[in-house]
Amino acid sequence: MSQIILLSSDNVEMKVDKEVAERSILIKNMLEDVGETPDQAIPIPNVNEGVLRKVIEWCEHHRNDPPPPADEDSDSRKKSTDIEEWDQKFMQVDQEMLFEIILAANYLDIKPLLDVGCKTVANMIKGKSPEEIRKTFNIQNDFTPEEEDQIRRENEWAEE
Amino acid sequence: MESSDITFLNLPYDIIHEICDHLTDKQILKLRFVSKQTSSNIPKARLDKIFAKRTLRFTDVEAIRFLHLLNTSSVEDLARTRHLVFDLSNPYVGLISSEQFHRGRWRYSEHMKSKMMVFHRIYKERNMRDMASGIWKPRDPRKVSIPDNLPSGSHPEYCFKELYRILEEDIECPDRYDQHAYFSSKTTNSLLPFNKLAFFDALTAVFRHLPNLSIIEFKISDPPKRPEYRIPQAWVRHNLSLKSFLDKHPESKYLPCGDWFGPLGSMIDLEVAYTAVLYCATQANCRISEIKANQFPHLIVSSFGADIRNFDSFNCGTTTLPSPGSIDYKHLDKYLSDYQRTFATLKRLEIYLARDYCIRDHSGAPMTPSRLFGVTLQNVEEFVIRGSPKLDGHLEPQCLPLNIRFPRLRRLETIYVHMDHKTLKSLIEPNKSSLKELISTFSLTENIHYPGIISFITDIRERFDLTTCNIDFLNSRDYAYHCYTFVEIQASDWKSDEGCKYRAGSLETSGIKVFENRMKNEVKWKEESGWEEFCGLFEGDNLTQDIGYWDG
Repeated sequence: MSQIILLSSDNVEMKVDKEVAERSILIKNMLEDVGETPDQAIPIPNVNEGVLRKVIEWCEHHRNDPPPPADEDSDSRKKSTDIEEWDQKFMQVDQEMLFEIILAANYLDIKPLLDVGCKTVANMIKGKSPEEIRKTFNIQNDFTPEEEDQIRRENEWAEE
Repeated sequence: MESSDITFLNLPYDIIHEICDHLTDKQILKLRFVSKQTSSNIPKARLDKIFAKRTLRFTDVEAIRFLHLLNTSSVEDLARTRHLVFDLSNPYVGLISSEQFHRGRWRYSEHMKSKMMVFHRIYKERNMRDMASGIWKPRDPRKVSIPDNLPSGSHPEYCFKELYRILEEDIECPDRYDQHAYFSSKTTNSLLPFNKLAFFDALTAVFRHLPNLSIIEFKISDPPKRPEYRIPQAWVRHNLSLKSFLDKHPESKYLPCGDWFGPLGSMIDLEVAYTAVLYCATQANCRISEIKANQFPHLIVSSFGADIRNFDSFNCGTTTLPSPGSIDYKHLDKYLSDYQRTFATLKRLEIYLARDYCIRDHSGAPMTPSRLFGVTLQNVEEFVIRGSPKLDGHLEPQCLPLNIRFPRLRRLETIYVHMDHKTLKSLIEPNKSSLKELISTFSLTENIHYPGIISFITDIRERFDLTTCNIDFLNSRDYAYHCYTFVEIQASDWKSDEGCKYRAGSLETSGIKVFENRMKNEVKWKEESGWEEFCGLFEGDNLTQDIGYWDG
């Protein structure tokens, strides 16, 4: 099986099966443009070693997954926040790493990984009060009581 | 990515949008409170969609407060609202009786009971602390200081009793709800449990504020459901002591509080709500394209429903709306022109006609549908008439718009409308030039057997130009069993048998199951693509499940 080399933003080279790397549409298109397996490392300027290793780990595990459905905007995909058990464990990382994985998935165009990441963040919001959400993401409440009251009144008739 | 300070707040917009796609509307609304930046990161299109639909309840405070909000809203915000839902359920709730409360305790899991015990302990600690520091004063201090010899953590029964006492002590009847006034207003045939004038005047003003309003909907919201039994926001809005209880004791959100409160008094009648809301829309020069009425529980009281004969008598008794039965017919032309203008673009109308007096006509109502109702339907393309499976007998024909032509009517749907075959024909006959889809679900309450079914469908095939014809035929009915034959036909040209899909099936079911939609999943369908073959399905006992119940 042919392999390629990815170069992280902090100049660490990583050998990966081409098939695994091609879970990334960005890399897949790049390889298609080049036409043959390159000898030189492909630079991934926006992703550091730690994050790239996590992304490759995910791609390894999902190397045989069928391609995502053509209808990417399907309601069922969007509304569901179900995450496979392996992915749930994979996403048990600190918040900074979680967001970096999401950004890397977005940059490398790995839709299913982006989806898992966004669902993980959505699950961190679900069922929580605004105060609990603030605590979760370390956000300061910068609303005045009057502004809060205005939002409350606006929300009232839409909440049913 | 390279940056080391990535937080939820500085994620790019497209990622935030992806995350928001996985959140419900309620969660999105909560996000608005988190911080200014979080709020501004929410996709505008998502907020537009959420705020396109607003729900109002029939209380004077609700309409007036909503009007106040609209008065302070930007033009852009006002333009968002396209759909107003009128929830007829009564949001004024009070604590259920002690007997009901204690009778219901079996339904809670051990896990829930332990949450109740935790709540009880926290509640007591908090109140004792607040009472000692003077922050809180109980109505009856003796009750709070009951010596608690029993460790509440180990006695669920004791804790359950205490919980009721706490709720009884802390939650009062809603401030604005005057039960005495409500009952005295009922006896004077004034059907709203509040200041009607204030509500309908405010509602007309609300309509005037919403330039893009095009959908009006009527519904009855479901009571809180297991496992959460969450208290609806509307209950909290209408009961200040309930609000302060929930605010003071945030742990209560883990309790099945929604199960412990019930409406004080009955809800507004659809007859009043439907006619009056439509009237207010005409007075505010609205342009309505759809009227929805499809979320009513099957087993609501039989006095509930609209009556299309009574569109002229609004039953509201306000200064701007005539009193019951007292419409000034001198002004009928003005009303007709108002209705004509407001409903000129009405494409779809749903109405619920389940009132008992539509079945047994004691109302002294006019013998024909109101002219205002006729004008409302002038350009309608889809007309859905709903009834209730609860009622028995045939609907009085004058309760239906029979022998009236709606020139653009393309689709007619009847659901649990109790009528005979002749009535259904009188409903569709004047509209045969435009009608393309006929769907009659559990509406025919006259027994018919196989030769009759074929003759009925043949007649429709020859005289109409339908592309969809779904009819549920009742074969026989007694207390124990109902037997139905279901016919579903899709056709591009039915007369010449082109592009046709026919299917038929039968079902024998116990009486109560007829109320359940899933019943149709049990039908054994037989399919054909030609008319002759379809008719052949009705020969012999091809469709019969149990010959004992069929005599056709």
